[in-house]
Amino acid sequence: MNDAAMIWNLFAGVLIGLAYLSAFAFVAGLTLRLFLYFKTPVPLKIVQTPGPKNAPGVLARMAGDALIFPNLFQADKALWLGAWLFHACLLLIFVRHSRYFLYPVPELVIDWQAISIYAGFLFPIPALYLLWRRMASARVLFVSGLPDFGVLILLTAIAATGMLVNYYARAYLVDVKAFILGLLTLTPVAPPQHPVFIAHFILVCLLLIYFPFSKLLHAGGIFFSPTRNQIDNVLYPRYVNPWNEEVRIDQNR
Amino acid sequence: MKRFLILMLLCITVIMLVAGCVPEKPVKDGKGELAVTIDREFTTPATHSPLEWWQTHHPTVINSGDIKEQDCLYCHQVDRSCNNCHGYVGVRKIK
Repeated sequence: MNDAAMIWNLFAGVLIGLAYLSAFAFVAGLTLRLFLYFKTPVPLKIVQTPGPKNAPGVLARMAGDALIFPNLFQADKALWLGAWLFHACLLLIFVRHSRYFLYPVPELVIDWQAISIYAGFLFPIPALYLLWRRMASARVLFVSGLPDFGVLILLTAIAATGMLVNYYARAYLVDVKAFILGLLTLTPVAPPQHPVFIAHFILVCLLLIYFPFSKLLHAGGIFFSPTRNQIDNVLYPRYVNPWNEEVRIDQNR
Repeated sequence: MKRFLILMLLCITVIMLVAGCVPEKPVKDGKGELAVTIDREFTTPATHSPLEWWQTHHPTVINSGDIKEQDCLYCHQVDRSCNNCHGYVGVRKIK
């Protein structure tokens, strides 16, 4: 084996190690954070009005919050448009990428490929808008930290390298899928020797490691928000203090 | 701890089961159910050389209109040398 092949094998091993490390950090971190959210006591009803009166109402409210961001729409129309497009593009891009994780690939995913391609082209626009907004407004800039910019830049870099791999410096999809399926089935094979794909892959690994420890966790945290997931039935049941002393009432008096 | 170990064992079992269902990647004249085969009577056209470049860039060439999709079918049989790869990576199948 010559030196170049040896260095490549070593690099491929490091890349595979990084992939498993990032998968572990993502799954373990996400599980731990969501478990902590789940175990956090919520002793009081703090439903945001108008609150839903039953469980289906809560489901509808949460679905609305997660899919169309009605509160943001009322607060800031331009930000709503940017944020909604950003999230919709992310969803479509995720659907498009699911073909690398699934075998056989569902027909629905294949049918959505054409729409998802446009989401890839569109994605940088809302991402750059959100980045610009953080810098253009003094008030927003004041409350923005390095992680706020870092995440947007990381996502934009992932999108940029993804578009390069897909359109300008194409990678051989069969090798890409064999690499991903190899990782998923614990039978790893060497990644494609394609610098832009490797850059794309490393950036995604960094995102996975960072995800559970960042503001990106709002993706899961939104469902644990007590102002949004509680039923507004505070006046319906009778609450009895569990440590009250029992009072004997003489019925004959 | 016991629950965690059971969960881990369950996950590994599921991964092993899934791994058993995933076929070998499609390779020209390779092995496995997705192997790409082309009848010996056809000689490889100059456009297909080098093969690695062609495998990666043939969608671009077809989308540019230089070669039509139907032209491929003079030599390629859809099931044995088109849709096994297309199905594997989840792109539109050739009809």
